Amino acid sequence: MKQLDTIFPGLGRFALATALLATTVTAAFAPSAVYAQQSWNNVLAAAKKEGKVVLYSATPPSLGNRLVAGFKKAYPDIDIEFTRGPSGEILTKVGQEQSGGVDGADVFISTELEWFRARAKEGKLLKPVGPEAATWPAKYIRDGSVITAGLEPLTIVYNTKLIGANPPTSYADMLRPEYKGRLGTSELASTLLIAWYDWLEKTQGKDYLQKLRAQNPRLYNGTTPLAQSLAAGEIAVGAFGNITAFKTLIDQGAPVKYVLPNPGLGFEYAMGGLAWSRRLNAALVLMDYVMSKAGQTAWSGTGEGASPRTDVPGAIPAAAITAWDSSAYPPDVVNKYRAYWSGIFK
Amino acid sequence: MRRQVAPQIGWLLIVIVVGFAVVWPIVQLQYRAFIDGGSAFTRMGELPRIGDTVRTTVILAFLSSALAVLVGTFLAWCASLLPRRVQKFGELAPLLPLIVPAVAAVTGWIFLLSPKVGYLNMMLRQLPLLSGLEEGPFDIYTVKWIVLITGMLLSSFVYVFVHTGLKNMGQELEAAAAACGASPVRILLTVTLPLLRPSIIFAAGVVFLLGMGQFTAPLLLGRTSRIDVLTTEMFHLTLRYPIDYGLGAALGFPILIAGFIVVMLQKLALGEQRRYVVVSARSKYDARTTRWWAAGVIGVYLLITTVLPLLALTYVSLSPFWSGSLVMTELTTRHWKSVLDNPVLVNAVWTSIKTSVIAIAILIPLGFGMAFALLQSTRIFKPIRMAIDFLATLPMAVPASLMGFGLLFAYTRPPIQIYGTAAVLVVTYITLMIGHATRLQFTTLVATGQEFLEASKACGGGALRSLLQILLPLCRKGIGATAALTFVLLFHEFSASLMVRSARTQVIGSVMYDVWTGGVYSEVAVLALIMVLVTVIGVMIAVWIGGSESLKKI
Repeated sequence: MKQLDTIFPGLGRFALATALLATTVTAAFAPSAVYAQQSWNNVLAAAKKEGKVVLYSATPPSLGNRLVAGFKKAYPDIDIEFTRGPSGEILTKVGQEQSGGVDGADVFISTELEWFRARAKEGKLLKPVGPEAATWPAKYIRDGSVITAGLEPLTIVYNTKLIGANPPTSYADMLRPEYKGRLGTSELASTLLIAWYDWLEKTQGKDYLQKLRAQNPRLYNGTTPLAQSLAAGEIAVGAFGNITAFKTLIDQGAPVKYVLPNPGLGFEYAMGGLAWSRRLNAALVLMDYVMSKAGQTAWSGTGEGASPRTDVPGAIPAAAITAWDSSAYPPDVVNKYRAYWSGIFK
Repeated sequence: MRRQVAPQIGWLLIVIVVGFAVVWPIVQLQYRAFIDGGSAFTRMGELPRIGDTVRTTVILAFLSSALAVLVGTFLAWCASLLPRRVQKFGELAPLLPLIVPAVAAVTGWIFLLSPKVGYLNMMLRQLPLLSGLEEGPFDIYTVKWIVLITGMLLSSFVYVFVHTGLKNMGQELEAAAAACGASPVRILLTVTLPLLRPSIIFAAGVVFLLGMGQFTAPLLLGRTSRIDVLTTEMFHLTLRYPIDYGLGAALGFPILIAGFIVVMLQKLALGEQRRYVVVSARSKYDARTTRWWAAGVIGVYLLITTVLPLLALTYVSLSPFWSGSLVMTELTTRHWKSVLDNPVLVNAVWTSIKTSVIAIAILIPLGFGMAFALLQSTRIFKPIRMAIDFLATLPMAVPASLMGFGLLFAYTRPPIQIYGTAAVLVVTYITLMIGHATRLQFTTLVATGQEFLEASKACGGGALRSLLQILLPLCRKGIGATAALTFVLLFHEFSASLMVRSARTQVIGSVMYDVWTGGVYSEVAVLALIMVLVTVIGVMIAVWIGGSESLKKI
């Protein structure tokens, strides 16, 4: 806060955030606008003084580690602390930090898009003010401060040692008799999962979930533990997965392959700078890095996902991914669906 | 008058401070269960499969504690039959599972008994009789195995109490029975076990409470197979924002009531201990015959509970990823390097060590003071002594996971908002362990007797000088043992830590869970082995401070 006061004397934290945003809102909605280089230089200088930035992210460890390594390289004067966790779990921690005034996350990345939008409407998210925000596609900045940092398709995964010549290619294949007791799927670890199960019912038939349950699937807390079990051979097929969670294992020689089902669903990772953070300037710098070509190449240049940018080599085209509509899942819908799903799967 | 009142103020201060730490979180939390006309209980009734959850909790508590009592008592009996050559190591061996944290042991067992790719299962399938199987013969992700593993983990605690009881018991009655022609089994059933009743009842109560609040095994083994107990349901609540504390309190209420009932029953059942004193309680008369098969039993126990899980952890820690193959050529140290290079994981290890050591530094003098207050010879107002007795008992009656949930609620809001700092871990550890620290040091003080202290006072020594020069040196071994055991329990603490940790203030158990749910299993194995290594070092330091005899006192 001290540094911010230096840059904007006499302004309080929120007044300052508003002031910062005033510059950026224009940039966010009018890409041709010129961002304020002088202000950004001040942010960079203040971020260096803050010396550290804390990132909480629901992305799989390998992706998070790539971002951390890239940021360290780009900003060697700013330490970065990275904590990973499932979307819902890490969101709880962020909520507790906010209500308890605890020194915690500065930047948060998760699939809980609606949470970000609600905070943005309350003015609790920082608006990006860096050079990258000026050219970031307007479609991928919601409410002025919720940034879509990456997109990924959901996949079906299988163990190549256990599944022979006829691998699964669609969600209908999950109901094959030979997969009974050899299947894994995810618990409702985040709202994305709720949307996915809901989407499955809508596209595969009303009784699909009951039939899936009859396959006696193992329930994992998200894709990462499912990936470990699949690689070990505890299960042969995973109905829910994303490429990032499996890529590292595949690179290490694990007998795992993924397929993109058609029809399929995708999802977005939302990123926000938290206005109650203790290191506001460093948060802005990290956000800017993630939006940069280098950050986006670290994120999706390996072919694991899509970038809102069009200049990232190796990334899947963003237009190829149909992301779930988070606005269709407000808290009351989520709670009702949770009870409905638990009635079937628990 | 002033000389009489001043110490009472000190005791009263202890009651207020410890009372606040122990009672406040529980009262505040339970209050949330009963406000709004008890709507939290209605929500609890609406949870899917809550009936199954309660049933599994009760089954786990009863069966795992019964198994632990059987195994622990049998081990203690075997230890008493050990031939002299292996007696020293053999008596310590059943304690070695305590060195392996529950979370590490359960992880090791998953690697061994996962139905399809568990190493032990795969080896068993090589046997001619089982060669047709594609999976199994054992499935660790079942209630049966959660009970078995919990029972084995708890059996060491039973061994501690029953073995001590057996050591302190004179052997005259057994010798008399033998002289009258009774067989060893008859002596065991008609003489030894009835005499050991106080130790067995106390141990049964302790492990029943631990079984009732069991969290680690159901969390790691039950989650993927839809097996829940009350404590895991509570934990799942902490993963959803905003946390429904009322519902958590309602879930914890049956455990709390069971805890109180067990502690009351223990006190009632053990009321008149003099009935169990044998003619010469500390007799050196050694009448028991020795048996080599007893060493074999202890060896098998050690192999199952400690050696096999540690071997599995070591192998997976050196594998590129957990796989169902035993190819030694692919071994790598990559995951060790990755863990040791990861500042979050290394910081968690240090936070665990620091918070445990700080908590012990506070617990030992505080527990010593409370234990001193409980001595009959200490001049203290009766209501204050009763309050201290209650405060030393309460934390033992409340499972760590429930206490952790209460502490999370209490310390995320005013007046003491310390969530997100290391202080919340220290306070949690003190709250959890104050009972143990008091009871263990009370035993030491009772065994020390008052004679030396009175002699010191008679010679003109002041209270402080008597304490520093007489009492503390006499209690050094007991304090060393208390410190060692408390370090082991705190460094291994998982249930409460997982509840109160924040994303940035982590201990080794909680980051291990995070790596378990979001990382690489080989790194989980590395962390588990680090936990074991640090525990061994911690115990060695405590033993070095307390003297080698203190290990026996554990």
